[in-house]
Amino acid sequence: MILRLRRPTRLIFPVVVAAIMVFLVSPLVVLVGTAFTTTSYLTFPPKGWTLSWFTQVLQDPTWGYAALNSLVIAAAGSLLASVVAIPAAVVLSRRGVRASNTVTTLIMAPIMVPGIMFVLGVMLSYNRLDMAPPQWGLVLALAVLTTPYIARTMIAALSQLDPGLEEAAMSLGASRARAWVQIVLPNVSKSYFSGLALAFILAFDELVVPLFLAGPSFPTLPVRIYRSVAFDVSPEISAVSSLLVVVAVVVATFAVRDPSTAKTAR
Amino acid sequence: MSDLEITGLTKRYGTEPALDDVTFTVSDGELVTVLGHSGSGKTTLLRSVAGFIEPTSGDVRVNGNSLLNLPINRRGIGIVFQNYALFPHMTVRQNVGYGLRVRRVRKDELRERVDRELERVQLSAYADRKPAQLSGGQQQRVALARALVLEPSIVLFDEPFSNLDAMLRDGLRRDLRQLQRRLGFTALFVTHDQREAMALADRVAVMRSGRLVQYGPPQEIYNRPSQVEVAALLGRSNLLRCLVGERDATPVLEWRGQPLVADDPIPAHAGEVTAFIRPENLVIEPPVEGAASRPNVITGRVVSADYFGSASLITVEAGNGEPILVEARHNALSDQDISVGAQVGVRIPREAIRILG
Repeated sequence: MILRLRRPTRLIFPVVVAAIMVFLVSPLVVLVGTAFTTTSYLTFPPKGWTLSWFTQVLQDPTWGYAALNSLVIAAAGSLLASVVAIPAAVVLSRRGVRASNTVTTLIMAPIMVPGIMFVLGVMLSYNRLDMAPPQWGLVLALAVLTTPYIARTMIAALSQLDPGLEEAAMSLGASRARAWVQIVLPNVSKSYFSGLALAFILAFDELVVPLFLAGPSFPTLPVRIYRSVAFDVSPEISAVSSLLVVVAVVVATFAVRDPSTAKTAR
Repeated sequence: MSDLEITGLTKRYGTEPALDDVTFTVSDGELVTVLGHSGSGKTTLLRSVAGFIEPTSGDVRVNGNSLLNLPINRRGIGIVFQNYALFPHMTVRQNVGYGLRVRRVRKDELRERVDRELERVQLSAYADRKPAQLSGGQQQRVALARALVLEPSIVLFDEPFSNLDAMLRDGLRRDLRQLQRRLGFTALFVTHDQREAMALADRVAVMRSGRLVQYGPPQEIYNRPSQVEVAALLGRSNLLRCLVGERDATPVLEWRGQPLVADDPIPAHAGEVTAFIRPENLVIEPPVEGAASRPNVITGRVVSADYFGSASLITVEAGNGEPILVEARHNALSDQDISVGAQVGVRIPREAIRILG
C-alpha cells in the first residue's frame, strides 16, 4: 500500500509510530533486561550479568510441569474450539442463512462477557454438573473462550472466497464434500492456521480461567507466575517471561502471517 | 447429440418470480445467447440449468431426459464462470486436469488430454503457472479449457468476457465461436452486452422481468423487436408515440401532427401505437419548404452531431419539439457536412417503420 501524505502529516507520522513502538517495546526491554541481573530483586538496568536465573528456571521441574500443562490445555482447547468454529463458519459465511446474525452474536459472546463473570458462571455450572477432573472443564472453558477468534477468521476467509470455486469444482464432477476438501479448504487453510495460532496463544496466556477452574495440583504457566509474584518477586519471573516472549515471537512469525499477502506471491 | 429443452421454467423467491414460465429449445450444436439487464432472470435461468438453483416448476431436458433430479456433478454440463473461478492453489495444468482427475482418468491419458486442450487455447507455455500469474484473457482461456477438456455436449457461459477490455473481447468472441462450431457443443451464453449477444448467436433469447420476451435470430431481434423494451435493449432507436387515425377507411399514423406512412400493418382501433425506427435507417436531406404536411419527411434543426469516424450520430429537433436520432454513415468519398444549428430534413423510409403495440 502506498500512503501519500501531506507535509505536516509526513513529519508527525514517524513521531507517532516511534512513540507507539516505544510504549509497546520498552516494557519488554525492561522485562528481559531484569532477567540478567545478579541481584535477588528486580532492577533495571540490570546490575551485573548472569544467566543463572534462566538455568534456575529450566532446572526447576515445577516450571516445566506448569509449561507442559499450559501447552496441553491450550492445544486441546484451541483444537476443540476449531471443531465448533469451522462448521459454524462454513454455514455462517453463506449468504441468506436464517438467523445467521443471532448465531454469530452468540458465538462472539464470550469476547463480550467480562472474563471474571464468565469464569464464575462456568464454575457454578461445573459444581452442579460435578465435572470430575478439572482439566476437562478447563479445556472446555478455554475452547468456549477461543471459539470466537477461530470462527471470526474463518468466516472472513470463507466469505471472501469466490463461491464460484465450489460450484466450478462441482460442475467438473466433484461431489460437494470433495469440492470442500480439495478446493475450498486449501484456500482458507492459511487463515485457519492464523486463527488457530491466535486461539492457542490466548488459551496459553489465560490466567483467570485456570486460576479459578484448575485446582492447585494442576498449575498452568500463567498461574504459576501469578503465584510466584504474589509470594516473592524475583528475577526468576523475568527469566520465565523472557522465555515466553521468545516463544511468542517465534510462533507469531511463523503462524500469524497475513493470508491475503501470502496467497498472491508472484 | 444434444438438444437443450427448457419448458415452463419458473423460480419464485417468496411470491416474486425471478424466472417466470420460460420455454425455449436450444438445438444441437446451436449457440444461443441470453440477453437481458441485471435482474432480468438470465442468471437465474443459467443457474437453474447448471443445477445451482432448484426451479419452483418447469423442466430442463437434454435429449428428452430431465436434468432436474440429477445433482450438479452428474449433469455433465460445462460451465465457464464470469470471474473464471480458477482454483488459486493449483497450476494451470492442475486446473484443466481437475475434472479428469475427479473422473479417475489414467495419468498418461490425463496428461495427454490436458496438453491437447492447453494447446488449443494457446496456453501450453503457461501450464505450470498459478492463475494469479496470468492476465485476465489468459485466465479466461484456462476456464474455457477446464470446461472443454471433459468434452461436454452442453456448455454454459456466464458473462465470461465481461471483465475484459473491448479489444480482447472481440478476439476471444471470434475464437470461441470458431471453437464452438468446430467442436459442435450446444451453448447457452448469458450476457448483458447486446453487441456480444448478436455477434455470437445463432439465436438470441431476450429476457425481461423473469420472462422470455423474444427468441429468434439476431437480425430478427434487432429489426423486428417484439416490444419497446427489446428495441431499447438492442442499441439506439427512435420510439415515436403515434396516434392511429383513419383516412379512406385505412388506418394511418400521426406523430404529433406529422403524418407517417408505414409498410408494417397498423392495428385498427389501437388508439396509440409506437413507431420504431433504427437511427441508421433514417436519411438526412436538404430541408424542403412546407415539409410539415409531407408524410415521412420531418424538418428540424440539428442540435448535436457526434462524429465517430465511420458514422455520425445526429440529434435533430423536429418542428414539434421532439428529438430524432439519426445515424449517418460516412464514406470518405462523399462526405456530408452536418453542423449543429443547421436546418435539415429527415426522411423516414416507409419500410423502416415497425409498429409496436
